[in-house]
Amino acid sequence: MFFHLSLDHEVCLHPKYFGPNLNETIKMKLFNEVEGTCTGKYGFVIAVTTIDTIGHGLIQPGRGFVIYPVRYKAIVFRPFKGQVVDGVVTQVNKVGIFCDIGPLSCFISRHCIPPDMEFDPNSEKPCYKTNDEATIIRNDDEIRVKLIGTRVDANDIFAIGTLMDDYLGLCPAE
Amino acid sequence: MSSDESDVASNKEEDTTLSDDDGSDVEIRSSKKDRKRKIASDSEKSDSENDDDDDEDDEDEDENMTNKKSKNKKRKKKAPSGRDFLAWDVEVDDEDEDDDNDYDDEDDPRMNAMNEREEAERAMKEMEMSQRNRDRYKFQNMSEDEVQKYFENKYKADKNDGDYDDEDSAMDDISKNSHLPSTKDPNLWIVRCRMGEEKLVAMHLMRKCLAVEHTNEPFQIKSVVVKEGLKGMIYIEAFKQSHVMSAIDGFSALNQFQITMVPIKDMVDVLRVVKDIPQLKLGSYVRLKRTMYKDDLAVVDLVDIAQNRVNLKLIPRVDYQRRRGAMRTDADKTYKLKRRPMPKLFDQDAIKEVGGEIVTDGDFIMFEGNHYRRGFLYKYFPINAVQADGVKATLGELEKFQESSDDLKRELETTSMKDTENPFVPGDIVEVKAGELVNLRGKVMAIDGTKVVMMPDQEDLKEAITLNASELRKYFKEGDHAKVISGRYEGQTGLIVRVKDSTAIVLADLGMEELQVRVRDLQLCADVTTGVDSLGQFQFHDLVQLDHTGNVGVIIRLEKENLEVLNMHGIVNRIKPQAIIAKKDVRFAKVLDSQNNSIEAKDLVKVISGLNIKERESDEDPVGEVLYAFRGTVFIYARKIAKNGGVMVCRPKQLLLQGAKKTNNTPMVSRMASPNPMASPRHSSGGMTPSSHDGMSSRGSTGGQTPRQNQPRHFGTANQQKVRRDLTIIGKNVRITKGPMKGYFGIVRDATEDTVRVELHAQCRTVSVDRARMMVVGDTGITSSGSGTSFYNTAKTPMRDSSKTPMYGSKTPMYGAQTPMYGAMTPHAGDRTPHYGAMTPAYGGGRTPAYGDGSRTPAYGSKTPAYGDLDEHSSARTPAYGNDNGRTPAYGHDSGRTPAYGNSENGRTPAYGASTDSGRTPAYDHDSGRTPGYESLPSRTPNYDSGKTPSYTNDFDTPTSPTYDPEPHEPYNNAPARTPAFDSGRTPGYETYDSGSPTYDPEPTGETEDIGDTSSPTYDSPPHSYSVPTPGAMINPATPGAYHVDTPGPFVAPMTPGTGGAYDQYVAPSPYMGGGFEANNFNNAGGAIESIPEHFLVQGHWIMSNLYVVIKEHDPRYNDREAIVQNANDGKVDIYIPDLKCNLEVDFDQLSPTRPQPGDFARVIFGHDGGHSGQVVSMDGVDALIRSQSDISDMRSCNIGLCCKMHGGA
Repeated sequence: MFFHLSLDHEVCLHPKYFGPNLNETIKMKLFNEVEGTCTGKYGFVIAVTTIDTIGHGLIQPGRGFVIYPVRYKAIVFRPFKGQVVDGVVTQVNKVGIFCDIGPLSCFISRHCIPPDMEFDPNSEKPCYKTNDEATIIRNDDEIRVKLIGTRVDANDIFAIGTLMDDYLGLCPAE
Repeated sequence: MSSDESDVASNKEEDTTLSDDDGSDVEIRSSKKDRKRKIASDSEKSDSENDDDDDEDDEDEDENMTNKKSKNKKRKKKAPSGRDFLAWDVEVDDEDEDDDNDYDDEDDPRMNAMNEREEAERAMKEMEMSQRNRDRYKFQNMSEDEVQKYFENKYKADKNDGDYDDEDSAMDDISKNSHLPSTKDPNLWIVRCRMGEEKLVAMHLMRKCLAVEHTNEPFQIKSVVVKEGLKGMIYIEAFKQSHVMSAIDGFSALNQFQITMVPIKDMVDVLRVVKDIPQLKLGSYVRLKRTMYKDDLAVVDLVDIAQNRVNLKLIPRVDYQRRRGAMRTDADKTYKLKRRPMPKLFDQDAIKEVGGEIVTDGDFIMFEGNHYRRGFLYKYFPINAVQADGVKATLGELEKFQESSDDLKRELETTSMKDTENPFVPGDIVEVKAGELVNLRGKVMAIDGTKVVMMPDQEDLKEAITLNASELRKYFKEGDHAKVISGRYEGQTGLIVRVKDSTAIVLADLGMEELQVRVRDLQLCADVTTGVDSLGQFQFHDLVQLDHTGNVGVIIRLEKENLEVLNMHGIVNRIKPQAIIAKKDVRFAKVLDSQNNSIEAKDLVKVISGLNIKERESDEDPVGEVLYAFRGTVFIYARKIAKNGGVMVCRPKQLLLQGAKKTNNTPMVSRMASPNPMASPRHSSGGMTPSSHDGMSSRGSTGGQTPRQNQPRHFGTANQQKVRRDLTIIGKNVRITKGPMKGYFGIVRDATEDTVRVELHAQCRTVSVDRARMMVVGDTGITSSGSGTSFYNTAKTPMRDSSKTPMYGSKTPMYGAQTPMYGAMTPHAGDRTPHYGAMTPAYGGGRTPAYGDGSRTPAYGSKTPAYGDLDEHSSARTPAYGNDNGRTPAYGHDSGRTPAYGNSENGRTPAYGASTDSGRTPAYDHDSGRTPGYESLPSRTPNYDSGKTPSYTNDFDTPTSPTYDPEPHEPYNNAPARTPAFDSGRTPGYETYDSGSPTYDPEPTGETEDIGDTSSPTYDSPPHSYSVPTPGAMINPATPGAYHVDTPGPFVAPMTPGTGGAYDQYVAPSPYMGGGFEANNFNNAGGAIESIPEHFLVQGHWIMSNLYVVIKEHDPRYNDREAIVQNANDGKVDIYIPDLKCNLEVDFDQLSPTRPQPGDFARVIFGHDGGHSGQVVSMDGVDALIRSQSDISDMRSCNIGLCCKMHGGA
């Protein structure tokens, strides 16, 4: 699920940047440091939308670096249990399917794949397919997954999903 | 007179308690008396047989009073006569036979048809009477003793079995038989019934029975039985079919015309009640509740539900003490087992020893009626003697049952063991698994023994419910994060992927593998742990040594008691932590990948061949991070690979480095990348030279190789070394300033933030020194670029001191070939030569000749030229070249060298290539050339007479020749010069490097080979690059070289010279480095050059009072003034400036020594004669002859550049 949140971050700047472009530098640094990261609490920071305030910099004693508290708004992606999302299959093996949901990697255990789909290691690309081959899930396919669990680490989120529900599985080609 | 019962099973127990009121039972009982006696015998002794009569009476009187009944029963049980009424201890399943008789018991006796009853009772009494009378009559004829004897005999036999053996099965059989219905019992009749109305009909029959009870025609049937689950028929118990017919008359639901009788032998089965047997699965573990095997663990071998028994496999408790069969003695007859025997696998031999007879029955062994196989006892037990729930076997017990450890594993996983203790903890989500509330979910609020207070997860249920733990099971949803709290995977955490029955599949957080775990072994785990990642001292992904043959492996899984280790051969072993010999630390090891890139831990690599290659064309090559590089094995961790937790084993050549290397490695990379192959060598040499020197020096004493390694390490790795290591100081020369070791010099081998490991020059040991207690002696400026250099200085110095020869020895390996040559040529040079040889490679040529000459002379020769213009040198050298042919010969010698090369190959070869070529060639030239060179040199020799000179000379010479011309001159020159040195030094280093830097390899190899076969070819080719630089370097250096002569260490010398003009030249080397290394170490080269001399000077250790110094940098008015040191303290010097007649306090680094003139007093402040002081008697070129004041015979020739003028004679 995506959220637009107001977040804080501290940018630590080397004195050499103190100059006319200070603000720009701070922004750039913020973007660099924040976008694409993941916190367990808020999830993946997708993009910074606005920078609300850049606080007064505080010079670090003994170092000369300056820390600017920055308040910004960002779009974050936080997966939740039970959420249904679309993902791209990145790996298929006998244990299950790995897929990427944007920045989130998700594992679909074989046990969470409908029993009528079987792993076929012998096809050109390994895949899961039904007996009649009506549905074939292989690398790079888009699938719809329901997240049944997330493991939230300090700086990463990992999810496991299932295809065992209505309307889950391969997304019909458009 | 009949009674109905709708559900026999449920009332059975009750039935049994009431059974004796019924006359019909009595009848049966009488026939069972004998057998029952056994049971009675278990209890107290009997008083008299009259009790029986009393009992009979009691029965009639107390029919309705159950309490009393039970009392009576007890009494009866106690009755020794044994004519008791069975049934007390009869188990439900044992006694089905009774059922037929019992059902009516429940009813009020009044309900029985009187006539029937009377009839039955009469019959019973008659029977009993007759029997009793028989007994009585028997006893009537006996005396008291006889009676006693009679009873004794009668019961004694039984007692024997009573101990332990089989009382159960035997008793059960007997009692069973005694209960079987006989022809005297009423029969069971099957009456067809309309489907679904069975119970209804039974109720109707009962009502009808009540209704007609007091009429003329009471029911004559005994009971009606409806068996649960048996549709379309009921059983009616009656003596005659006509009784049944009359009873069911008028019931439309019953078919009067299809009444069939149940054969007597089947009657038992009709009403056999099968208790809901705890799930006894084959192979599951149970415990016994009774018998001698009480509490023993057993494995279910076979379940016979029909018979209500299980065949168990258990460890027999056989008494091997008691004698059997023929060996039995009287004592044994009365032998009584006090304690039950210990469980032990059946031992045939032991049995035979005590006279037991063993019979084989198929693959079983029979002994005393029991079956044994493979030492285990296989025996039938009644199911109710077995406890299947809550069996928690200890590992020790389980192990006894295993025939192999694989079995054990399997069993452990499949075994249904349940904690007897409450498996729940507050907070668990549980589900009711049985009873009315089945499937209700809730949260455990509190635990009280086996009771669990749970708050239902239902809106309507707001109060906590207390339930038995046994009625609950843990409940997990998919996606829950849980921790395994027991079993094989204990401690691991993961996400639950699926819950199936009582097992859950958990995707472990660690290693992405799926674990099958029993639900009860799981616990919700809020905190996200990474699972077991350490076991004792071992951690996930540790590299461990598995045996003493060098096998290592990486831990890929930690379990409760085991580790799984992927060894070098790609095989996964499960071992105990104790089996691991040690952890390995090879973080800094490097190997070369398929393209000779150096790879080390943490590098990303791609697997391009071998076993771990991608499985199909369309896949991407597996990419992983190098965990460890160990010898020829690389352990890689690839997240995307599920097998072995993502860890793979590869050979280096199956890998390809991904992306760019970290800057740390730049040196290597640059080398590789550098268009000029020579360059790399240079670099190495440049950088290394210093190091090599060091190495050599140290080797001098120790044995060359070790030092080498060290050095290379410093050089190559120093920068890359890890975190907490303080790299900046490693390799520097330090002096210990405080403590017991005060005054010692050494090289820093390792350093942390607060301590350093110093390898002492003076003693063959390495000590740890607090950083506050040491002082860096190298020049500060140089450090970065020239840490090596500084080393060298020291290093070299020592070398020379000790004996060059040794050094050579060490070097020899690399240069080895050369050295020998030199050796040969040098005869004079002797020790030194070797040294030089090593260093020289480039020099080699030069030196050799020198040696040859007087060894030194030549050197000088060469040097001289060097001193002169480069061109001159060139010319001078040129001749050497001219000697090329000569060289060839040299090469011949080379062969000798070649070997050396072989050794050094990797590292050196390259170096050689470069340095050698130029350097060596010359050297070679000299070699062959030497002769020539020598010849020419000879002239020079004189000068050199001092042994040292030669060596230097040589060095220089060599370089010079090649170099010369090339203007590259200085820088190059230096470089070359160093190169050689480096080479030698490096060689050792190279080895290290090799692993580290792929680049080298290629070159080296080539050279190596060449060398191996014929050094000449190799050399020739390489020479160009090297030659050029080398010579140049040499040339200038040469001069220094001359200086060096004094300075023991060639390198040192160079530096020392540096002080003078020589230094500058020396500096040159750095440039050279710059050329090659540039980015790397030598960036600083420029600065280093200047500072090279400085580093020592700056240290200020040379400064002592009475020395004449020149003020270098200070107030302009003082600059370049000569001053006398008055006093020297930490970093500060009090000087007196005679010109200005003033005192001044300056820093060490603001001073430089004043060069003495003949007649002056001087002190050698650097080099291996350091500390020598005296009067300069004469000057011989750059050498000053210094005569010690204290010992006039002590005359030393020192390079003037190393001396400092002294005031007076102090």
